[in-house]
Amino acid sequence: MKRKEFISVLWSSSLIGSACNQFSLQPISVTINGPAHHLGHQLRQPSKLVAKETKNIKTLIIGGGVSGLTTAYFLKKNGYEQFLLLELNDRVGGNALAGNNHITGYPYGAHYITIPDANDKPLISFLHEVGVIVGFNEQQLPIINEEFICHAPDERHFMNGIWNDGLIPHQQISEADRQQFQRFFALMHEYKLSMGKDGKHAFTIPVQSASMDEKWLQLDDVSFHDFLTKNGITSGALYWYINYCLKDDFGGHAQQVSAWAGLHYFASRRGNAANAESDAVITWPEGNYWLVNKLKKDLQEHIINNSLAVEVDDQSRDTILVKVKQEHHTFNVKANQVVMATPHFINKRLLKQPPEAFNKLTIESSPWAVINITLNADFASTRGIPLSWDNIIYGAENLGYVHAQHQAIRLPNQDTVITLYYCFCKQTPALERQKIQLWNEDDWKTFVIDELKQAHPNIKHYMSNIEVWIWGHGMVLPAVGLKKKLLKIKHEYSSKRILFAHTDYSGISIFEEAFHQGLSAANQILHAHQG
Amino acid sequence: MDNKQAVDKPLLLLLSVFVVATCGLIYELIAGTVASYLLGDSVTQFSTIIGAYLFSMGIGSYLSKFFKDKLLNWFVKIEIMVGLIGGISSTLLFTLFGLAVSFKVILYALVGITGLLVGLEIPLLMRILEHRYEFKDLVSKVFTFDYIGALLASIIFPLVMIPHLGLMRTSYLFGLINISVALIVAFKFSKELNNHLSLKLYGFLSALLLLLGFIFSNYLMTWTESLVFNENIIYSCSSPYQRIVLTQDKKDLRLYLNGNLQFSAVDEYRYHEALVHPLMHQHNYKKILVLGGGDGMAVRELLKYPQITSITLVDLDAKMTDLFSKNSLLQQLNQASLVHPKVKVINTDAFQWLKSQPEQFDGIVVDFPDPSNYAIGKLYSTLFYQVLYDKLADSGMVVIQSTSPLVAPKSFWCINNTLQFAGFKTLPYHTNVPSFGEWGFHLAAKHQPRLLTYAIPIQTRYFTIDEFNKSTYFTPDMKVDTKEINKLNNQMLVHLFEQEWSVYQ
Repeated sequence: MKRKEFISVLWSSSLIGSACNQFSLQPISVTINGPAHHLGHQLRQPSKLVAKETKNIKTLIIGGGVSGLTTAYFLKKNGYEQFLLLELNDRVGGNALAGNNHITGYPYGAHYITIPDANDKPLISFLHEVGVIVGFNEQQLPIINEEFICHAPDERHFMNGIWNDGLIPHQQISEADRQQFQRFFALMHEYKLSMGKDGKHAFTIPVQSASMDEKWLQLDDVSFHDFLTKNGITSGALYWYINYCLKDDFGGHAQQVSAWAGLHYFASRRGNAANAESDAVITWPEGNYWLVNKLKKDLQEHIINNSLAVEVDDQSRDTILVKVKQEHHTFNVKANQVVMATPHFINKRLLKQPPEAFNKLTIESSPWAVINITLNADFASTRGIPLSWDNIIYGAENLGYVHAQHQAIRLPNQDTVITLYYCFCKQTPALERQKIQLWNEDDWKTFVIDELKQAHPNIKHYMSNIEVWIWGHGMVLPAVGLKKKLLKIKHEYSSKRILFAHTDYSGISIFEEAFHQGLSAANQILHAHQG
Repeated sequence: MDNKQAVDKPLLLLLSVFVVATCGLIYELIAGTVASYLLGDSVTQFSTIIGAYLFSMGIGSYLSKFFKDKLLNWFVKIEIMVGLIGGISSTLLFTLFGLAVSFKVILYALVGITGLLVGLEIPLLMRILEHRYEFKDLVSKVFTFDYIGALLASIIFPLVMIPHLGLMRTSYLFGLINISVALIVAFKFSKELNNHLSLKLYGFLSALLLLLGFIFSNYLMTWTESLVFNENIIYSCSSPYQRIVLTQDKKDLRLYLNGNLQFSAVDEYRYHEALVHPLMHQHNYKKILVLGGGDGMAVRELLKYPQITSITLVDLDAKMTDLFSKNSLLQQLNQASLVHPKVKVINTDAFQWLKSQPEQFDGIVVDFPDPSNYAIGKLYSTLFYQVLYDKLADSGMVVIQSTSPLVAPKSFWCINNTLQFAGFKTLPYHTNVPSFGEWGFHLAAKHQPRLLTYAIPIQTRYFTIDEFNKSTYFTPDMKVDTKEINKLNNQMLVHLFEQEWSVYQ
């Protein structure tokens, strides 16, 4: 049998099959979920709750996201046992939570990290410990576990009726657009090489290691959009790409995000690995929940789930009193030290008497929906590049979808799961939150099908389940002026007893920042303990 | 003129214009859809098919002037023909795609004939009705019905027909509607028609044919498949992972998975002897693992070595191993190897299983499908070979089917590089299997695998130690200098494989 015949058999059998079978009308079930907001809203009337007992502990960590877990991880690792961690949900993970079904695990939020910066020794050694890095080559470049480096094909974008390679629409744009892309990347490369007078990189992750020169900090006063216009960037295709990136990482578009933050997206990555491109990503079917599992592995006895801190009272001289609400039960924790690994808008409510400057600071965050769709894998048979890890639709409002099973190293089944990311940031975050609060199952179903039909016109016939995960406050929006405000807060409100460890205070919500927020808090506690 | 009476029932004829227009457009959409499925590039397919269709309608209209009399007879005949051709069109296209040298000729011929017949109908009908209405009313009425029909077709085709019936049934259904109209006209105008009985008979026969097609379109699917296979299908089923088809012709029994030939009973011994004996011949391996190979043929060869104490076969597809364990015809072929007491069959994903189980094996046979897609490409990656290395006893050896070094030399040597990158020492070799062509393998071990020096009394039809030692020599056309390594984050092998096999077409 000739090759041509093989192919024709394949074609005809699968196509006749799919033409006849794929359109069976199955009901699509929809569930709407999110972090435990029912408990969260009780924050508003803490005084009504009466505590019946009091626990004493040296250190209390509030919040089981990556920041809080990292603090706990390093305390434990250094033999410090006198701590508890409170988590609002039934399990820790924060923005890196994940779900699973009979097919695969899949993310509810953060789902990848980038190749670590060679200067970021703590992160590199952590990744080594948990097996993401398996060793180092002669040049001391980390060797990344091949299973976790994003497999090929990694990215594709849908444009003019066809799936194209990569995320940048390089094939189907005008020459002028192409030149602007080149100019933009050359400009970003310049910024990547820029150093401050203090000998630090102008833009780097974690941001606490970046230069504090006014020259760079003043970029916090303008939007990335204005910065781009000033630099002669006008291409629509390029703006679409930039906005896609900013929404994906910051939950806001170029007019909202500061130039300082925008440059951090495009000019701060200088990771290098022995066996991966420097722009490769490291990812798992369940996203960063894989890392969460490593962080929490030895922390069972320290974590208290389903517990909402409702009030943090630091008025007494030697202890901090934290009131904690569980479903049927309220208790107090007396601690010498509290790590608030919780977002700023929560901290404002938690602190009994927050200082004024602290109270005045507003950190915006857009609402997000992370939608996991279970569907027949044939949905993807479209023209061009086959189903990839990241699949984005040029010109769409959504942030594309990720194929959850992409990193699986087993042969695929008929069904699979894709994760559609959507950042609601057209209007103000408050208005967007109000809007989606009202949506019911059918609204979400229509929304999902509409978002995907441009690239997959028949997708609804393949779907069997839609699981909507709503983040009311997705991640810090590094708006114009935020960086400077954060620096000021740091000066005005830092104590040895209350430590803030949340990416809200980095201004950039990514795993690496959360890790360093948590690590700094752990180091301070250990230092105070030893001192 | 025979149409004097006909003008008394003009509405029926106008309605038939409507139906003809709907059906005509549906056939055109079916042709476009099938063509874009099979040939890709839907923009080109649809625009050329619409163009060809409209042009043929023009030809039909032109030819209508040569129809001098018996217009109503012609009208009914043409309707039956359109219905019949349109009704079987999608089956015809799928069937012929595998057989025809030039599929496009057939495609456009079919579109052309349908267009021509539909193009004849409107002028004929206008002439039938010419004395009933004033010319301006006639034109207005006929074309109104015509265009509304087209609109209806264009809406229901994507929204109702394809989702609920699929392509084949849609075309049969519209063929039936078309012929029903012809039959209704034939009955209503029995008196005006010459030879109305034979027309009705043709109509009924055609309708019956289409009805059968509609009902049995599932079977037709298998039948079109069998035409494409050129051989008798004796068994076919779909598992969650693949379509399994067994065919038989005279003395040859063949297995296809997703249309790819897995073995031909006539020469499979060459493949399986070459796969197993170089691994086993001079070694006292006792604990054996087979990954893939659910047909049990490799196990059959392994069982010729009495020192083997256990063979674990891991194949993803339970339908495959069940078929080859239970079917008597297939048991003859693999000598009931899968039900042998030394053999344990595990149906699970080989990579997952291998990674999670703690044991080491003396001999491992890796018989996976060719790396034709990204999912299978992972089973040829550095990561997979590293796991394989860990699960191999220090003195043990692995054999890996490695596609054709003649057709796909870059792919073959890429597998070699990948094995070496994972730490293996390799010994590549190849053999000729007529139904496959020149086929390649790798022996891989922690020590350098060597040529064979002494024979062991094992009954083989093809394998000898001399033949094996010769087969480690590669002629220059099978050699290529490549440094590519297949990693999960480049999937190089899938790219090379696709490149090389597509050239071979």
